[in-house]
Amino acid sequence: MLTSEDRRWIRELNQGDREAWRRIYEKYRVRMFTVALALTGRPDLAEDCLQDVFVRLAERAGDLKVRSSLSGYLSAALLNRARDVLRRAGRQVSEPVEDLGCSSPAPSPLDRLIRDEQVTALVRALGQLPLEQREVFILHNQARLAFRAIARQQEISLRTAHSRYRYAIEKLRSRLCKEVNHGR
Amino acid sequence: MDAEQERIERLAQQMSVELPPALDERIQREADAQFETFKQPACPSWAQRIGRIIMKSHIVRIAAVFAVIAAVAFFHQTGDVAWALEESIAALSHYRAVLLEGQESERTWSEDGSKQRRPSKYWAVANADQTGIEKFRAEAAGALILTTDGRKTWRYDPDANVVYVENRPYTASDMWWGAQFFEQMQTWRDKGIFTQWNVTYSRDAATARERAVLTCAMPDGPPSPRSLEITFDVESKLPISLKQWENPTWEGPADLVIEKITYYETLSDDLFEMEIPEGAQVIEE
Repeated sequence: MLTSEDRRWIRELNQGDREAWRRIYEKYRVRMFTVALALTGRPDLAEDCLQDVFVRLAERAGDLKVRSSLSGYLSAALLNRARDVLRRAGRQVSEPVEDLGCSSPAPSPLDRLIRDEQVTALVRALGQLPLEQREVFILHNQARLAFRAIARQQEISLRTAHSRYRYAIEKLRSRLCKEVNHGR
Repeated sequence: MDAEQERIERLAQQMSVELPPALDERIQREADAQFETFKQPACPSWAQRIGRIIMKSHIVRIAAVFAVIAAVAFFHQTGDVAWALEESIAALSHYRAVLLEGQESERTWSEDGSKQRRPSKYWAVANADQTGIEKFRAEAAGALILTTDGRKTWRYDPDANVVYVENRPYTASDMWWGAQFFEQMQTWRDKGIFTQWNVTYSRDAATARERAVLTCAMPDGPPSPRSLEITFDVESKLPISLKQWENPTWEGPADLVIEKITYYETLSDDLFEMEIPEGAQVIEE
């Protein structure tokens, strides 16, 4: 669902208001960059994706139509772009991404360190998932898309989207458990 | 949902990374450039306005509704994919034994230089954790040519009528021809080892059952370039046939054709022991 804030900004963007674009950019840039990085596994490819998506958003000013949600629209554009750049780079993501950190404030430096290690382990495990499972997991948890929106975007059934998510969770659970055991 | 899943999801939701300042500046600069050339969309032309008036006509509106329904139905069929490889992986995990029936190109060539196909059958039983083949039996042109019961291996040369016996198992494959095989395919696809990964759908003319056909290529091996076509039954999710070419472009007749795949929970041990053919020489190695 489009929030009233997003609906207003889209309307203003279609009137050529660059401030509307800036507000949309400020609101979504960090989340979309994190999604791009988790999908592609490379900062340079993630930068390409993010730049392309938001510059195209500016290009579409005057003619932008968003039906579901702005988050969904941007995520869909990002996903398509990520697939393109990965295909051009001649690879899918199989290596872990080390750039991601944890954004929540921690009560103490030690707690922050523990949380970062856990996030790093999660990121490493994410990189080992098949691409479709990784996409569903990231779109649901990072881009905050409902499974129905993910299914529409990936052109799969709702059941398959749930299935891929379940497999992703099982594999992450298993790999994160191995990480803990190896660390003992 | 259990606590571990919640923890993983919470961690994922908290992942965040700031943009490098240079990227931030670059994006804003390029977006600003777009706004320099922004043009407000023109008012609809007379033709467009007349088109909208015509659409208000009752008859045209009904036709438009049917067109929309047809379009939605079309997209529903093409978008509502009925098969996913993960479902096949899950379905395969229930079976520990398999029979593959088909044809394999002989290594010798006929007089005109073309490869000859011979009918082949392969039975295989997985080891306990389904990570490899424990028992294996191969028949070619109706004759048993190799069998292993996991401890001993018999090879038969029908031309010489000789049976070679080894006191060790034969490794037919370094992975099980089931869920593990397709999980490995997924991993290799994600690493770019498998390319041109494509799925199409069809309906079997004889049974009317829906099929999903996966084609993919391995231009650099391992161990050598090849291309595959694997057909899955959409309802059961199980692979039902396979073709493999020893080139990366599906060129020419396939070198291996598995026309029928039968799945079992297990197979009798008797199947994997060799009955020595009459008059055959037995050589212990």
